[in-house]
Amino acid sequence: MDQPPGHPVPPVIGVGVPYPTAGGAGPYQAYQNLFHQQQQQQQQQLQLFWADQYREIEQTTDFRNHSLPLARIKKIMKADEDVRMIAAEAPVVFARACEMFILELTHRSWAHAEENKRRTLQKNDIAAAISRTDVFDFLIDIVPREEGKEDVAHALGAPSGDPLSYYYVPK
Amino acid sequence: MAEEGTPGKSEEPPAPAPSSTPGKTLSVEVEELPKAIVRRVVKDKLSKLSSGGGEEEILVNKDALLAFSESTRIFIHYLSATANDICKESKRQTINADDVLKALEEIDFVEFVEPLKASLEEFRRRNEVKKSGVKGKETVKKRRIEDTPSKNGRKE
Repeated sequence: MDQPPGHPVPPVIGVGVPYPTAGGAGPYQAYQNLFHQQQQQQQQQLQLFWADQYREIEQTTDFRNHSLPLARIKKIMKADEDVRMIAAEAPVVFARACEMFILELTHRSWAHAEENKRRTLQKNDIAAAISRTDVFDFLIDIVPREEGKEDVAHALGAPSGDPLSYYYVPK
Repeated sequence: MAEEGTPGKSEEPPAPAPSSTPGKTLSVEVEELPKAIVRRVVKDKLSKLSSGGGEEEILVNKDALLAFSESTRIFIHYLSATANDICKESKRQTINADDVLKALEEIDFVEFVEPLKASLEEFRRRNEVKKSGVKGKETVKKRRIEDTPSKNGRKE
């Protein structure tokens, strides 16, 4: 398949397949041959393309299953002296759980940024998400809420009052 | 498959380990999650939230990324400690996947459990495939050696 584009398929000996240069004997046939050859090339390219795609999908899924490095997760777990033996499957679950956790925290932080009409996610968005969400209570001291940051009140439907007060939403 | 308590092979370049000379103060370096991966997860989610990148991209402040990493690290500690308790309650020594799933329910992350079970099944299935693939190759190798007894009179 190393013919430059535009050349007709080489004629089979014994079969009268005319070249286009053969004095106009069958330009239509030559065109047909060329078309057929291009189709074959396209077929090959398509096959290569799809083979590549499948490979990429496999690799991506593989990567996503262990997006956070298992060894690192194990080390973090072991920082707790109480934690001794860890089955090989456990970090796998942790990796995915962490990913889901980040997704959830991101979503809620984004909501806060949106309320304040910002396109940049800031630390206080995360702090707000933590203070608003019960399941994130364990993080309250990790990302402390800075007072006087933003007026969240009016976005939450509460009467707009002092713009400096931060609004805690009890669940 | 149980894991040993001692640090063995690591998939990552070795990070500083805590010095543990008895009687002395521990100087522990805090293990962090890889920034690039945390960043990717956050950015991917944000681009989905901003209607697939149709509007302008949402940026993430450096401090915010650190906060995400830290929060996730503490999440790991919290979940580990809970799973560890559950494991000990069952008089076992090794934290297994089931302990982790129960721990998630315990700390009110119930919605995580079902998708994680599916992920776990997927992981187990892939491991099975890998194992049987390896076994298949070994069987073929053995057969080949037996087919050429003239090479070496050995039998597998």
